[in-house]
Amino acid sequence: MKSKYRSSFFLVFIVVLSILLGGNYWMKTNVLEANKKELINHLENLEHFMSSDALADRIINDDPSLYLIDLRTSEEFKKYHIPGAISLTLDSALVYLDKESEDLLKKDVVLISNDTFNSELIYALSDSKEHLNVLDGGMQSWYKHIINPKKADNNSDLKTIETYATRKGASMYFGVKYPEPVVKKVIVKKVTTPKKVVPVKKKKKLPIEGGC
Amino acid sequence: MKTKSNWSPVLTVLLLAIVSFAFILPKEAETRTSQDILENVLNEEVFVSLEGINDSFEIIDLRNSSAFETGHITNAKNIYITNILTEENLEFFKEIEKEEKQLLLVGENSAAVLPAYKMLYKTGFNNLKIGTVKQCVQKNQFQIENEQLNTAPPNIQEFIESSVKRAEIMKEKPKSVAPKPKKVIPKKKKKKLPIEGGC
Repeated sequence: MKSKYRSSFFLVFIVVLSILLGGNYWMKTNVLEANKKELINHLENLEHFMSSDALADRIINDDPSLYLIDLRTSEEFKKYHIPGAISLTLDSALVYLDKESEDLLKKDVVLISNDTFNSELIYALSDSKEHLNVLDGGMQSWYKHIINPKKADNNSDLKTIETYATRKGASMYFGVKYPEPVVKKVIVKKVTTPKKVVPVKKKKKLPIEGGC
Repeated sequence: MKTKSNWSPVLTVLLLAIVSFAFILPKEAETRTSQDILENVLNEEVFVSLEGINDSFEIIDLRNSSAFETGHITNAKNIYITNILTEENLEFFKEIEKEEKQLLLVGENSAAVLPAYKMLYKTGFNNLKIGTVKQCVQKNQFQIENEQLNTAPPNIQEFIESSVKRAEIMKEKPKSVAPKPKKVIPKKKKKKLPIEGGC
């Protein structure tokens, strides 16, 4: 009876130990593999960066799928924000995005911060990334490229001139005004050759000579 | 005759196993939520500038090898970001942790380091730091500088308002070109000559 008890005890011990070790190994490799996969997915998906030009274009074209989340402080948001954006703190944005509401998943969410760092941080920490985008360069890029674009000079190539024209148009859409160029009136003077005036010399009245 | 007492040691072993299982769980399985990582990153002690680098850091440059070869921080070790979770590298990071050194992650910029930071933090490392440096190659020359994070652009609303004002001023006051005064050339009166001769 005692030996039977001992053998059953030993058997159970072996089974539990193997489950433990196996489970431990399985968890270790599984978690590591999942982490590796997530890292590669993140690094391969460079398309999540949206340029300020692309964002401006989509706002101007009234794209209904855009959903802008401004991650700056509420003071900064009050001073100025991209039209249509909502303000969220980093903590609340993370909670809000991880809710994965169906309406939000259908949208193209653009994360906006002063530079790229905070937006990229929220992007990296969010569980579902398919619908998330990061405004490349953040508000700094928005100011530099859309609100106050660098003027193309006479020596600029055609592409630079075209880009400036597009950005200038976009900046005007977002409220920037440019002084109207002064159009100089070109007065076409009629060139008329002055008539030559040949003065007719008045004959001097000669004193009457002699007489009859 | 089977008694209940036969199963009590088995249950005891199972209970012990469950308790010990909780203790020998791998570090990797620790549940570190995104909120934990966020709190950790927002802690300013995580960031290290160029001036703050010293011997207590093991610098890991996460750029690719060709970018690393063009230039890097002195004593930095190059591990391409996709390879940080290989067993060999994880062992190396564990050794660094044992030596009580900090792992300083640097890349093209601070944002580029974030995916690696997140994964290593999730894996269980606590000695992680982010280098707030910008490394790039311009005209075949390696350039490195400190990166100021979360710097606001100039006041955009103010810029827009001033542009509107400027445009209005220009509209109200068009440049008036003063007409050139006509040159007046006085005509000299001809002197009346005395009548010469006569009859």
